[in-house]
Amino acid sequence: MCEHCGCQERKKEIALEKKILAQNEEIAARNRRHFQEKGIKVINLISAPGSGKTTLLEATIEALRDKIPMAVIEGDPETERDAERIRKKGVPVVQVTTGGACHLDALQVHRAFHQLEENHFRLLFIENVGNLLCPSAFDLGEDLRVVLVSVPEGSDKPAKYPASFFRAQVSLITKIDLLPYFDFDLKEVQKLALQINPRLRIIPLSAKTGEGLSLWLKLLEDLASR
Amino acid sequence: MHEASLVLAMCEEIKRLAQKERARKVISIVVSFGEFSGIEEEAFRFAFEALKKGLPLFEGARLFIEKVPAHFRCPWCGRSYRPLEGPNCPSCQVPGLPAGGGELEIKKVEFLLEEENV
Repeated sequence: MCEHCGCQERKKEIALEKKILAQNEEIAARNRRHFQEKGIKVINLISAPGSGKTTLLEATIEALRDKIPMAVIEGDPETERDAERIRKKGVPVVQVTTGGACHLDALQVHRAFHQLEENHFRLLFIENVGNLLCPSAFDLGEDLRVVLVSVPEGSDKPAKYPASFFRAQVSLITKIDLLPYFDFDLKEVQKLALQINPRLRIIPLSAKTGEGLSLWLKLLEDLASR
Repeated sequence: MHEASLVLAMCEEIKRLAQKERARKVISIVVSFGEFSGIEEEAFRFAFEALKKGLPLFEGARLFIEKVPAHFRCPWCGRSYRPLEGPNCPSCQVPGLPAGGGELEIKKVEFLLEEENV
């Protein structure tokens, strides 16, 4: 009974401890089971716009296409441009346009995966919407989460965007061919990233010159054969 | 600005619970965000205030935000320590496992129930 006026209103407090994104996580768990059954390993690539996700994918496809069949889901707020670039490399690709939204969610990936399913592939790359913050909260059902930082962005990125590094397993420092031209401290970025996630595997590379790329490719080959 | 998506997801969860509990109003909500959750408190509040205008269930509802500090756990000795102490366990010098700090949770909801069979 209400303590103020004696009316019949009743209150109830419920302790929940429920994840805000519980629904997304349920779908992500279903995606993960589905991928497992099909023997497909999934990589979620997260970075700010222009960090080189698409360029990295192009180089990765070039290097691995004779060894491992691959497919790509491209997330962008608008346009098919990135999907076009990947299509030119002869790999099945689905573009998801989020209509302005800043991240992909598990349901969008589920739908995109069904569009790809008729193809045979063992590695599926999901290029998330270019944004270093928002995609980090959304599990897509991936096996490996990779966060990219490019040299022109500056070495303090992990300190500014800890969420992306906290939930990733791998961090790629991209465009290291530009190191001579930027005030970018490789040691600092590694130190800052490990302060947020001590288990993070950090690989500096350049998709343009190929430096460091072999470590990334090795990691993918190991993942695919697991 | 993914705070709006999170507020929507939160309201959906609470709406489902309200139906189950036969509640007619939400009085208050307590959420907890980890230090490394990537949530901006002000943006979340702003999105909640904007969204609740269109949702009678949430009219007048108050939002409380708790912050959870991040911590790592040593895979060897199990010791829990803060990221400020460094990436490695202060006792064993092994890299820790991220154990807390990513939380995005609804902790508590207070409902006003329907007036019946009292």
